[in-house]
Amino acid sequence: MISDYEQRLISLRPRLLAFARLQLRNSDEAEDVVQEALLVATTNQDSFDGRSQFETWVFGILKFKILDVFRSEKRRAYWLTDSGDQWQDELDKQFRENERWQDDHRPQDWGDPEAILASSHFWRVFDACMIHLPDVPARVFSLRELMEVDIEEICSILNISENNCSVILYRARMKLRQCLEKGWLTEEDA
Amino acid sequence: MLTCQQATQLMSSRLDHEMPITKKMNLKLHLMMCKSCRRCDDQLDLIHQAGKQWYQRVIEEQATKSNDPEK
Repeated sequence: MISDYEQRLISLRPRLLAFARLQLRNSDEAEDVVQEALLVATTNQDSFDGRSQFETWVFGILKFKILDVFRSEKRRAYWLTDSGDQWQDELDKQFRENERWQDDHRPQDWGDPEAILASSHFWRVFDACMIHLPDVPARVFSLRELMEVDIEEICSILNISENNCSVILYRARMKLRQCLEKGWLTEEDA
Repeated sequence: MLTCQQATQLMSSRLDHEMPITKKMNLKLHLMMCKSCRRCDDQLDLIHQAGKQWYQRVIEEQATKSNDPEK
């Protein structure tokens, strides 16, 4: 017999998994980490004080478990192996030799920020662009912007220099900007 | 005088930590004169906000689905 509590956890599972997959970008590891988080939530039912929202509490446990994965020493080399410089070249092409914008890469007007964030089209584009980011910048970006870990902590978790971390974040943001602009402005009617 | 590429690097780094006053002034000056960089700055800022909201959306989407029998 499944209790209501367990039922709530089971119904949360798909969202937890989607979240973990986006962070870790590896299905097996995402499955493992969600299993661990669910186990903690099941065995520590008493520590849920009811003041925070149940979902927020479970996602908090998952966040903690994901950070643990990033911390594990033997994964680091793998986390930080970039697939190549190709996407970096693409970014540099936005600027001319004198480091000013290329005319056809100048940022366009996106319209009212509040309207953008309220648009489900924007969020679909955002998810698609996140998936298209190369693994390394996507992981660092997720830690910083989606999980709101501060930069000093990211450097210490991944054991990289702050400068290195800033460069990765810069490139992730610029790449995401480029992708969002394309998706947001061209398919607005869709 | 900052180039546009340097300006974009400062825009990104100020989302992560407090910037020294000289860099802040240099960026401000560049933004006053460069429309493309102003847009880029607004957009990076929007991405920063979107990141925060994204996490909240993931949680709330589930909350609405599981707690609201009307839907």
